Amino acid sequence: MSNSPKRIAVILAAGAGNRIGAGINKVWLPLGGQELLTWSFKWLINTKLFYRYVLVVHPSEHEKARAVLKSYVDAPVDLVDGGITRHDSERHALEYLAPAIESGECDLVLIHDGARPLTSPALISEIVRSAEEYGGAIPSLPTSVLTGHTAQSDEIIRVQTPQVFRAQSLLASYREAEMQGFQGSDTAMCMEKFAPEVQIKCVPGSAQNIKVTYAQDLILAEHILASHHFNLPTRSSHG
Amino acid sequence: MDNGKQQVVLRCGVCGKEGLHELHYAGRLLASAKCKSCGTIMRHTPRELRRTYIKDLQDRVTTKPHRLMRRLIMEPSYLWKGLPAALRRQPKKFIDEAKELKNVEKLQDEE
Repeated sequence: MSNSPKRIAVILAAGAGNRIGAGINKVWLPLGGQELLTWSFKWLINTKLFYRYVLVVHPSEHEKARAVLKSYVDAPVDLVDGGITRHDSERHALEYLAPAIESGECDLVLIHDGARPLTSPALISEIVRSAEEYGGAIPSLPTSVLTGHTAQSDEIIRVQTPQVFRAQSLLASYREAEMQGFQGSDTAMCMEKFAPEVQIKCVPGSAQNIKVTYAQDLILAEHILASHHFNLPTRSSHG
Repeated sequence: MDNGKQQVVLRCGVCGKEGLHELHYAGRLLASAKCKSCGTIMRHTPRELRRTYIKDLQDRVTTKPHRLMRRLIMEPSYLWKGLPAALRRQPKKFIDEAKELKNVEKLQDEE
């Protein structure tokens, strides 16, 4: 993979699981001795593929985010205010990065969900490599992998994050979506609608790349981290 | 974190509702999670929790020098601003963790 492209990683953490308005945002839950969100930064930084990091958080959580990042993240991180929806949060991040994207300083943008703390550096590298080749890349899994069924003929896939796209196409798509009042459920949906010319490569995701949704996901995440001695693989097991 | 307790919105695997859950931690391990909507409590078995806790405690102790050094490199003032208070908190922290382990065992016995 070439080291010359300039890539920026964006982590979304503005509203993860906090829509009911009670309790803390789950990205701040303890996981393996540090806040759940900080593991994503650890894996992203380990890849050494990014020159800049952005965290999208609720405006009321900036202070908390700064304190956590200072303790556990070995890189400067820009904070951006989140929006009401995931799509709005992505748009805010992209508008914040617009000067770097429009000037050509940034080639690729990775967008990741802060509630997925177990995305290995190997998977991140694979997605970035594919996005450089095709224009866009997303990790996906056949639902059979997740449910344990193996006899499905019309395979339905489940899309994960991080999702990586060419920066200028991504910014243009979100601007077009804003003009048309469109809200996508993930980054790829907006790209498919407003930048159909960009090829999106589906990279095999990982069953381990869970999104913390259920209480048992936290226990599973603890087990996975501990079984890897708190270091996820930097190289893909299939070469 | 308030005495090893956290309230957070998660989806319940039993009632299927997205609602408030009360989480209890023993050290850095999740000891139990209670759905406030249906009352379902999910937790390790006491034996499993104790075994995992001891393993995790060993890891915490062995990696502490490295973690402390990293913190001091990033924030040298932690040596006089944060470390003394953190050291004073340690005995209470371990007592609270032991209490949480006991609580899980007690709850299991009651069922």
